[in-house]
Amino acid sequence: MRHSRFISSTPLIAGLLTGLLLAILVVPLNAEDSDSRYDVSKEVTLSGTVSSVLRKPAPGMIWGSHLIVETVSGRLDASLGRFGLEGKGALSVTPGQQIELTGIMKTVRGKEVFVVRSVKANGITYALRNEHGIEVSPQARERAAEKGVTL
Amino acid sequence: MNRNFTSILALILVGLAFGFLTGCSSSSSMPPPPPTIAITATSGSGQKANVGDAFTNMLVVTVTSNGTAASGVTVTFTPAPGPAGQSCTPSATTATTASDGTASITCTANSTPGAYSVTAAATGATATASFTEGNTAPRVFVFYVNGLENSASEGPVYYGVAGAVGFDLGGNVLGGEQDYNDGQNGFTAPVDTITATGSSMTVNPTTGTGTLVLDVSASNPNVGVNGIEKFAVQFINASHALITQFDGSATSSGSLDLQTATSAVDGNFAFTLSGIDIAGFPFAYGGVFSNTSGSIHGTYDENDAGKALVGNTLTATDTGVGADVYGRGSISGFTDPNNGDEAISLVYYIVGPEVLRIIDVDADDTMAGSAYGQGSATSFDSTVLSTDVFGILDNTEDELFAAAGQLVAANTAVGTFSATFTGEGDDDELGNVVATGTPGGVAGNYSFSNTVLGYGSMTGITGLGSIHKLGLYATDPTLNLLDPNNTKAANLGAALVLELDDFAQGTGIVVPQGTIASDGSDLNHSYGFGAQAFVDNGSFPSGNPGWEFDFVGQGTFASLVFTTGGPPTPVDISDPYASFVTGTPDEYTAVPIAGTAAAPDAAGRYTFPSATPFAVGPVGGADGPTKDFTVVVYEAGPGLLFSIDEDESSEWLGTFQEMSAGPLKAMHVKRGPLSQEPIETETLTSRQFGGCRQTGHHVFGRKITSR
Repeated sequence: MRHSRFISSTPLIAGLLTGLLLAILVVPLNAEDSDSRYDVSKEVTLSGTVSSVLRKPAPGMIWGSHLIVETVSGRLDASLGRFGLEGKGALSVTPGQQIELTGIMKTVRGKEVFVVRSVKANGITYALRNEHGIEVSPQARERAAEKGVTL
Repeated sequence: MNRNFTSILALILVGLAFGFLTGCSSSSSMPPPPPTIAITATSGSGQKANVGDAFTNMLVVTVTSNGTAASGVTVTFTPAPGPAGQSCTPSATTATTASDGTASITCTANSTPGAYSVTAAATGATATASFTEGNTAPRVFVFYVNGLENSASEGPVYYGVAGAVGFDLGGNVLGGEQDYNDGQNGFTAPVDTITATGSSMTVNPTTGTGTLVLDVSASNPNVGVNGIEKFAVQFINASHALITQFDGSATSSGSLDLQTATSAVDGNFAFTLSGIDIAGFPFAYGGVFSNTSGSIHGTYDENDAGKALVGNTLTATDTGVGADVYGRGSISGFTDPNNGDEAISLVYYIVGPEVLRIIDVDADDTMAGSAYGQGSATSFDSTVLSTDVFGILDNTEDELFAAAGQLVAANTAVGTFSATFTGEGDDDELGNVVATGTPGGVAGNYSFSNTVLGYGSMTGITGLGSIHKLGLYATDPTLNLLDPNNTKAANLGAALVLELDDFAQGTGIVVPQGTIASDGSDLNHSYGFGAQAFVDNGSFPSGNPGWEFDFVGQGTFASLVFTTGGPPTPVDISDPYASFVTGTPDEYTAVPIAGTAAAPDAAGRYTFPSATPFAVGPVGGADGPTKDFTVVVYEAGPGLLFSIDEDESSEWLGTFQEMSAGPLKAMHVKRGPLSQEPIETETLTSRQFGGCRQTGHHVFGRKITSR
């Protein structure tokens, strides 16, 4: 069912494949990148369908909430951080929903995780981390909204 | 024309005549103008006296009449009590001026510390004179904590508290004041009054474990539980304790130290501060400054959500403590260069001549930290570091890492400002353990400025995960950074550090390492310990996830076997985010901790092997869970150990500080011997799941009836 939605849009597939190819070329998925630094130069954008929403991490996952996202290259563990799904104006997604993720691929404790900086869902872009990978707290999100600043 | 002129002239003449006549009349019948009576406070203002004591000097006024000393004038003296009721009792409410125009009284401080005024009014004078006086407590402890506030409405957020609390010699709380700042959550108060009523501290003189209760409900009912803050305390000696907030409203770690000075903070200092900026992101500062009669000049670094700005010029003003009796002063002119030089208002509490606890008191941002003196040093070079142990913990709002280790400086020499170091370290970054004590696995460079006193950095660091650059700020080599009043201990100095990489904003300290016994036998002592832990809690309670717990306690190492004291076990765990018992946030007392360490490596690094782990529990009663933590200890010396937890679901940084049993028993605090009586297991079970929530007392096998 989800795949049929992909197949119905040839330009979308082309875009996804291009994006994934770029991601694979720029960030070897098996790269050992165990520290916590967020290298914005390695940032890529991926699209996929939300498979499940984990408000708490499963054993072995890095801290915070996660999305399991089905992409054309397989299943992706997307780390949203502590505040990704918390507070006013937080990201809200449901399984089956099509989203776009921007972030970097890291290998943590031998497992690949996509550290998400922003999520585009329902036409809205949600900033979860800043350019250094520091998480955007609900308070920071609220402050930015008050000031009309885009994070 | 002529007619008009004649008329005007006539009017003028009539007017002059009338004026002449009336003037003659008044000069003969009106009284002379009243003399101008003035009163001034001549001497006796600005005094401080212990509660119950008379002020040393008399309160003297001078009354003048038209500028000349006036005798026989009645002067009324009226104390104006401060908000906590602080005042003094005058020897007389009225006094009559002598021939020199002076009148005086003595005044005796009442039982409440604090500043207040005494006004003096003279009969016939329109203005009054005023004296500013202060009642002091015989013993004052300065405290500060920072951690995670547990707000049901706003969610968890960084907060800090700094303050001072005064005691009489019987251990009763006489009063105090504090500054609380949660920045974003709106409970910020410039100064809260701690009232004697409702406040207390009780301590078990054997273990040093106790409870400090501060009542600020009259001035800030939003903090703590309806304005009542409760802290678990673990005294190390009579003048120093580790503390953690212990009432469910927040959890945090900090220090409680005897105050030894209340004024004069001139000198050179190094400092670090950490908190949340105006935009809601974690940020931290570190630097050095000189304070000369309130004029502050220095150099500082800032790391704001990964954006580091180093070498900023610091120009600020220390407005001093004024009449405050708790050593509370303020600093203006500090700014946030990463946010448009936004002004940051700081308040400090003086612990002693070389230690200040500092808190940001703005409503939009919040920070807490300390400044430490640099002593009489006129130069800090590469010899500041030698063989040292360090501990660094990230800001709880960031909570990315905890790190500890040993470093050995090389190629140091007096007059040389750059050198290298090697060492080993442990680093847990969000549960990702990226360094595990590989001997020689850590390396880097460091340097101090040859123009800015004690301002330096550590760069090119390898072997410590994401940590590659630290700000390095030298402190007085004779100063104990963790226990400022205890300068007899080893491990004095050496520096503060600030994470300057783009991934986190941690702060920490570097202290010299002494000789380490290869078999760990030099740890055979009683220790007070504590730690600030970050955990991967996920979302609990729903919509209000939190990620911190804190604990303090007392235990003993004997041949590498660590056990907590008691019974009852002197360990308190503040767990408002249910890290130990799913779904049950609580404050646990009497939690056993045990483990057996392996002999240390050459760097003084101890591990607790998986067969004998650092086991915490059972928590919340005999049927509660026991959690094994992967704990590593670095020994600076027998008196000071750094502990780091490096698990996938938790990380902490803490210390073990050797206790001084003798001085502890001599301390002037309320004794809190524990009255114990066995209670039924069924009762324990019911208490475990809610029965003790209100009292905060969970016990293992025994019921605590008093502390």
